[in-house]
Amino acid sequence: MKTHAVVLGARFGGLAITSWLRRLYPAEELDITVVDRWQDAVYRPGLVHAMDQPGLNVAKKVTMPLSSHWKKLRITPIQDIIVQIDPDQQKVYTATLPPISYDVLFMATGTEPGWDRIAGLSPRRGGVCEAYQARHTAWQRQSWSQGHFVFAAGPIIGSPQWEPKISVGCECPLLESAFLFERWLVKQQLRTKTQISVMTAGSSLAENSSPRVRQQLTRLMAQRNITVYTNVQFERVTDHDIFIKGERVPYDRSVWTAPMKGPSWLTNTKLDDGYGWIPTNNYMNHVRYPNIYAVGDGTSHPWPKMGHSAMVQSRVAVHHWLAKQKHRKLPAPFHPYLVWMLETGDSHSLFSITNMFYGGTTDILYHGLWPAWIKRAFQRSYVWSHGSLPIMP
Amino acid sequence: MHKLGKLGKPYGVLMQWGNADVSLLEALAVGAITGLVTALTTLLLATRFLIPNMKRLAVSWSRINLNDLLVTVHVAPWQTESRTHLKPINSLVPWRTLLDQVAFDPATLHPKAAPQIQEISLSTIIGSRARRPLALSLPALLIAPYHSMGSPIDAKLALAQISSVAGSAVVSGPGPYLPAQRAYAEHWILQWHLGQPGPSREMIQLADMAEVSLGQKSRKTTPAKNHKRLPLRVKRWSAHQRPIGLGASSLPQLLSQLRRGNPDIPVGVKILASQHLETDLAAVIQWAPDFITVTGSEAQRNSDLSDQFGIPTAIAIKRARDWIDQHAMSHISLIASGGIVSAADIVKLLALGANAVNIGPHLPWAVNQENEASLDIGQMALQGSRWFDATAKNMRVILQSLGLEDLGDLDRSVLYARTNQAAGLLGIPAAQPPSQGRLAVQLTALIDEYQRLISSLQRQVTLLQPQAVDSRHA
Ligand SMILES: Cc1cc2nc3c(=O)[nH]c(=O)nc-3n(C[C@H](O)[C@H](O)[C@H](O)COP(=O)(O)OP(=O)(O)OC[C@H]3O[C@@H](n4cnc5c(N)ncnc54)[C@H](O)[C@@H]3O)c2cc1C
Repeated sequence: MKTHAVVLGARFGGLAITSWLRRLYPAEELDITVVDRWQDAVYRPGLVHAMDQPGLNVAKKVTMPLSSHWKKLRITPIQDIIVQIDPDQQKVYTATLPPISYDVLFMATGTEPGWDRIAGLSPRRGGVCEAYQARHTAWQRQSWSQGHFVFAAGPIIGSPQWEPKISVGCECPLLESAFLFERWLVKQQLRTKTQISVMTAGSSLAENSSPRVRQQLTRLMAQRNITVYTNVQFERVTDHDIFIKGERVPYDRSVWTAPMKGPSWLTNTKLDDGYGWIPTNNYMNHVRYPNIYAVGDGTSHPWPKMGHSAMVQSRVAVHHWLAKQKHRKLPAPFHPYLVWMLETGDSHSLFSITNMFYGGTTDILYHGLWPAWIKRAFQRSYVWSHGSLPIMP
Repeated sequence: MHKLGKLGKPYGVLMQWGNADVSLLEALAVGAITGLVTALTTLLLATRFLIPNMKRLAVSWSRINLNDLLVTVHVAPWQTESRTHLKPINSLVPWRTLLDQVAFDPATLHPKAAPQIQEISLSTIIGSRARRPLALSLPALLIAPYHSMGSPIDAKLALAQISSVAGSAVVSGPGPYLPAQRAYAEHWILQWHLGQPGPSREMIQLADMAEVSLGQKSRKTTPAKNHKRLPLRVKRWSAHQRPIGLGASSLPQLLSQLRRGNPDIPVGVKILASQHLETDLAAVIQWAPDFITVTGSEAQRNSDLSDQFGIPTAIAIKRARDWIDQHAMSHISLIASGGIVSAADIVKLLALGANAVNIGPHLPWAVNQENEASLDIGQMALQGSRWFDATAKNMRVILQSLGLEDLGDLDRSVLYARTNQAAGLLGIPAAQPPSQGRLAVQLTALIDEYQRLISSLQRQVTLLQPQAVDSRHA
């Protein structure tokens, strides 16, 4: 009898899982069903260009229609909202369709934006994390003339058990957006009329990187005259003020990465850690259910909540399942490290690979043109191949 | 009686026009001037509005009536830029709806100075008694056109995206459930038509608010099915067959199913505004809704009989609000639906008693997109967001001009009626003495103008005559 693998989520993690599954298992051996609420996938790192390019182009360039891709890989797509998983019955429930049974389940459902975690915060405050937000932000940016522009990163609502502690989930796009916007302002001769601030709930800029990366970032921010607030405890946001503990910061426009939390629907399953995050071991295998794997942002770890990590974790997860099934040698487990190609504008990027925050010693840092070229080439091939790159990380 | 000047005497033919006696020559002169003015105005309008919007007009022609067309023409510029002016050629639109016969009474020296525009709040709460009331930053619930010919799915998805960046909510509307619509929308209102098989519990749980729309059964099985020319909303209503409250057992069943499915969210009912609105309200109230949506006769002009059914939205809201307040039920939110196309419409309806409005089916960009194959979801969403951005700004401008800081401060005292008809129907003061209608006032003004013109011409002729004699003698 054929085995049935169900993959939940079809972005960085889900696309990498399906790609690895099909590379390792022919269609005759394995049925694959993928469930996501979207029809198309979006390569989100490209959305930061809402801050220096026309919004419609930005959104188009990063959108990956998936139907022909699924057909090519002989994968059954299901578009619906997942509402429940019963790990004992091995069933996934969606809002409108009959339950989907699985033999093995791969979860790559990411996180949920916690707009409601800060009073007055909502997608209308501006953002670049989804294509529609980026499009809108780009349009608003085009009419910008002067004032105070704030880039704010909400906290991560993680598990108290996480070690080392992290206080912010996804700061990278925010810093990139600020840098790109700053360069755009210079080109538009609006820089002198604009005050730019970066506010992060993180204990420092890029808290899960290395001291060298942090210093370099701080220096760059100072060079560009961008005010940085760290350790920010956001209390309330109104149309004109951001209230942080003990301070009222007036602003004119903002771009937010929302507070990051585990999906609320997961708290109704037996799968989460009590906080909406999925606990796994270093093979990405669920701590209680051997036929369930989880990868990417949604896992219960303080590991980098980055696309690169999700891709590497997917490789580990699929190879682990293969090794168990075919009684082969287990693959190397996942070890967290941060890989950044942070765009700083003027076709420059800050490239870093470091695991110092996670107890390692690797600390590579380079700021220049070629990391930006690599990032651009990566984006092109990722979108072209629908996340199924010829060489996967 | 107007005293005849020299110019008119030789012809001796008098015409009676209003309360003025006018000679044939004068009438011809007046006619020529009027013709010239009309031609110039037409030319101006053509270059300013019609020609730039020709394509839009062409695609609109088959779908909307003349009034809609005029509205399309004058609203179209908002799509490309966020202008803050309101209805620039409104005076040329012959009272599109009853709402157009209502205007705002601006705060001048009294009652108070205008607040800072940035401080004006447009937020509202629907279903205040629900465990999780719906809090919106803009009191507009977006709903896609019912009879989209292009891709209604695209329109629905675009509206969901717009609702999130505008701080409002999107109504699921008719047609299949779209997971992406729910995913895009920060606030998603599940709308269910009576007669459809009940929604799944899971769907109800995904909703931030749920609305039962009376009373669609499958249109194929309704008694109204053969009345192709009946407006959609009336077909839906008549499909309900029996008067509500008298055995329509499925409505309370559906309401309790929604409540069981999601006990936290506001649950309400959408009804057609009929002449017996109060009876319907009394019936609906039995099931303790958190909100009631009232659809006026301007909704969905999908047939030439549309305007023949129901009462206008403005009157419906006025009557519904009066009824709700009289029965001490002000915890029930009131939502206006039907023919709403501008910031002014929204604010007027809120002043008349609504807490929020349904908007979407009549918006020019939403209507036109159906025929513009080139407009994808992204472009549509961008146009729509611009429109809502401008609309929110305009709403703030209106509130500022009224000296108000919050939508909650709006009441009927900020409105006055431009016609006696509107004053009577809406119970608001009229701007002019009762005996004079709008046309009469305009005609009188026109005649006065001509009389001034004629007497000045006469003066000039008189001045010219002695000069001519002098020069002959020189
Ligand atoms: C603007 C931006 C820029 C970024 N830049 C970078 C970068 O340069 N480099 C980098 O490495 N990382 C970057 N990231 C982070 C990266 O995008 C995320 O870490 C990555 O997307 C996580 O992948 P994932 O598969 O775990 O989850 P996600 O990408 O969040 O995917 C989860 C999927 O699951 C689906 N899903 C979730 N719940 C449900 C449900 N109930 N029903 C149906 N479907 C559901 C979602 O629709 C989604 O498609 C960036 C992120 C953003 C927002």
